Amino acid sequence: MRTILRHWVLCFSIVACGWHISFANAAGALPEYTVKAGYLYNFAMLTEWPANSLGASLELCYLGHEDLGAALDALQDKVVNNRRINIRRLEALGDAKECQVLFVSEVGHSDVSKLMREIAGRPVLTVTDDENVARAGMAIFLRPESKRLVFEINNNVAKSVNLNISARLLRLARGGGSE
Amino acid sequence: MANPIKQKIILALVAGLWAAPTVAAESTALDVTQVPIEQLVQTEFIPASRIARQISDAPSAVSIVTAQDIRDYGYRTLSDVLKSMRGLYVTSTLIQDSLGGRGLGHPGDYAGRIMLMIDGYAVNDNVQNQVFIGDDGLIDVELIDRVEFIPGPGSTSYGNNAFLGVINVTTKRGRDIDGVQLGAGFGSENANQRMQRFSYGKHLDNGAELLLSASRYEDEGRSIVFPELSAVGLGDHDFRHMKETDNHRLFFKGSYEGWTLEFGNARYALYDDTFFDNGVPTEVGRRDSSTINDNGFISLNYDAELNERLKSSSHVYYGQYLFRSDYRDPTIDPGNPDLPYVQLNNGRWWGTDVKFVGTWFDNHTVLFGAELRNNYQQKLSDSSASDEPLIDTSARTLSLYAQDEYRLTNNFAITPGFRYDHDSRNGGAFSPRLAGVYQPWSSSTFKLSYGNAFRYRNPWEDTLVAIDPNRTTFKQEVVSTTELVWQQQFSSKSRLTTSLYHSHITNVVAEFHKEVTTDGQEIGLEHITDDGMRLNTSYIHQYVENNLGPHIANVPHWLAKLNIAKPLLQNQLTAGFEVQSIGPRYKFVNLSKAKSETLANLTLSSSHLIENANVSLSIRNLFNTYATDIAQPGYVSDLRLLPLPRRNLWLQLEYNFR
Repeated sequence: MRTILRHWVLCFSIVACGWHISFANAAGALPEYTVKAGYLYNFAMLTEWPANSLGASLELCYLGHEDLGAALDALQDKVVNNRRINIRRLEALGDAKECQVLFVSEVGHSDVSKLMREIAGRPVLTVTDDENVARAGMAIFLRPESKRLVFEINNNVAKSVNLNISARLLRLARGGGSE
Repeated sequence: MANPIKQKIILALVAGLWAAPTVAAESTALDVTQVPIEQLVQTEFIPASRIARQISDAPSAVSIVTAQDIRDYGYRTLSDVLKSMRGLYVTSTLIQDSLGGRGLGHPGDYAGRIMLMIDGYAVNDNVQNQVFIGDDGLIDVELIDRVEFIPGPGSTSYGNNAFLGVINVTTKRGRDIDGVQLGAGFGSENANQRMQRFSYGKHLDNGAELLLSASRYEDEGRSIVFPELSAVGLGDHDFRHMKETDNHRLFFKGSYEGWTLEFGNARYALYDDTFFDNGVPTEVGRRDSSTINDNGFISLNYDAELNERLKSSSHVYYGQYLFRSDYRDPTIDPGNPDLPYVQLNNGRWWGTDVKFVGTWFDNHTVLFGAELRNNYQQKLSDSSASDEPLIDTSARTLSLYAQDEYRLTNNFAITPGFRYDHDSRNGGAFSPRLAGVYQPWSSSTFKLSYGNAFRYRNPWEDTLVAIDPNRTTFKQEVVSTTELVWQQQFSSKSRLTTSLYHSHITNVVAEFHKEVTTDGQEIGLEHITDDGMRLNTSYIHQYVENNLGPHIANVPHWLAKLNIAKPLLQNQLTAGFEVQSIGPRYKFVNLSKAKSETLANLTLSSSHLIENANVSLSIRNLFNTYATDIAQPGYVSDLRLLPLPRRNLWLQLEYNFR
């Protein structure tokens, strides 16, 4: 037993020696919700809404964790395409129709169909990080892929509510933005 | 504890790990709106910690273990996973692990009274209703995405065997592996303990997902010393190389649109050169035995959305089970001590299940379906008893079920449901359940449920009843359970779960008692700190009595657990620490009690140490405690305790080719 133990300690020390090499790799990594906030800002910037649907501000609404809210607060009052962003945590599903961007993060399945009925036909850019919610017919699905966050675009959903997603964004989407 | 100085050093190290400040990887200075999207898609992210959400809508106090837990705590078998869950414990017989909880702990007892499902397929065999959770388990834990344990009667949904609870295993998808993954493990618990695994997973452009995995696990057993044996005049028995294990597993999962095809097989072979009786060393009895367990299944599932308000799920499955033990036993025919014998169990079954979920009416979600299961082979034989099979039978079960979730108000819903099973050998069984869920505030949930579950007598129990007139002759046993659950969500990062339950089993099958009553309380707290440390702790207390008295073997009065996973060195390393304590419990037969025991494990893991690789080192039984399991009846003399492994290590490497 003692020799086995010594053997193991040796193995582990060798592995530990390689430690510093790996530090550089993850140095540029950002917290999940910060990256998601960055994506939402870019989605808003690279999407065109029908002219009559926009007010003075761009309403960016979300459903989800308070930590997500804290990260999104960094976007408050930032200007995108000459409009000031207003971050709103969705209190009632009925308020969803007043949003331009709606991010649905980790909500119960049953609420989603109700939410979809509320915003049916309205020019709301729907984004989610939940696969089940994505299947309910969201425009953009954010998902992890080997340590990075990538996104899929369902352009049919966006087009059906007269949202024009820029070619620059479609190009970066996984699958190039499926039709 | 053998070496107090060493223990103190370890203790100090562990304490140091948890006291070490975590440098939060927040980048407050960074303005994320200044990062162009082309750069965002290249940026690595640090996953946010969250408390896992329950997938199943069961009205009970569900426990969840995720792939992250499996990695952070270095779980190697499903037993390790289940041991960490509120109210469950595992007893090892050296050959097989058996699960205990909610008032039952007889090795072999709980396995038949709990259902294990892999992606919706029930894996219990049809001869002894066993579930395999140790090295003989059907699936590598590295392929598991999450495990949910749903305590309480599950027959309303799943019928036979979903008696005290259901374990739902969800496997990973092809994209979770994404390429080729090679795994290797080395352990010090047994001689030459090692594991190799090859997995391939892919999410194809047409939407299809593939996952293919093959693994091998082998060891040459460990030396087990029984110091207590000297107390009864047998000297210090040292069983060396008491078993040699060779385990092969194969798993395939393919899905395309609504279709999912799965195939799984595990072959577990064991060779002993000591005296055994049911896996327990004895002075006399079985020796030179080789044992093979071979389990496999094919399952095809099709999910369809028939229209906006009606969904269906159709399932066809086939399963098989083979157990073969070749052995010699000089006690059977002392004149011919080298005569070989064979014990053989064979089971085959297929079934089909069609289920619908309708949302035609506002505030109602209606579920209904039917299942047909054909246990067309159920065979047991033992050449030491007879050349003819002890039992060779078959049975068909037809089942109908329905339930309605009725949302009376915004925060109150009731779910009545029932299932009726008719078995050609064991007759009809009706399993009703009524559950109410009340959410006075969004952060508080109260669940009250009452339900019945049943279990048919299995062919192995038929043979027990045939040879022992003292055993009960009931063909099915029924449990009625009332449970009150309160879940309090203090924030998205803190959740308290408490449960009070009372269950009453009647017509206990093939036993010496007829009824069992259990009363229990459970409490669990999950919390995630701001720097990403995950904490999960639980305590349960249970009081069990059968109609012969309160002396139920291997049922502890209490269980306490603590799991902490902490990211260290800017998320470069994760330390997973767990402590499990088990209260006093009766030994078999002589009714003396085993003392309470505590075991701790520590796992250090990192996916940053080597690019594209995950490395983890687990120290099991960290403080090198002498601990024991209650041994099965038949164990040598009156000791009835089986020593557990002392401190041992497991090193695991996983390399991804993408």
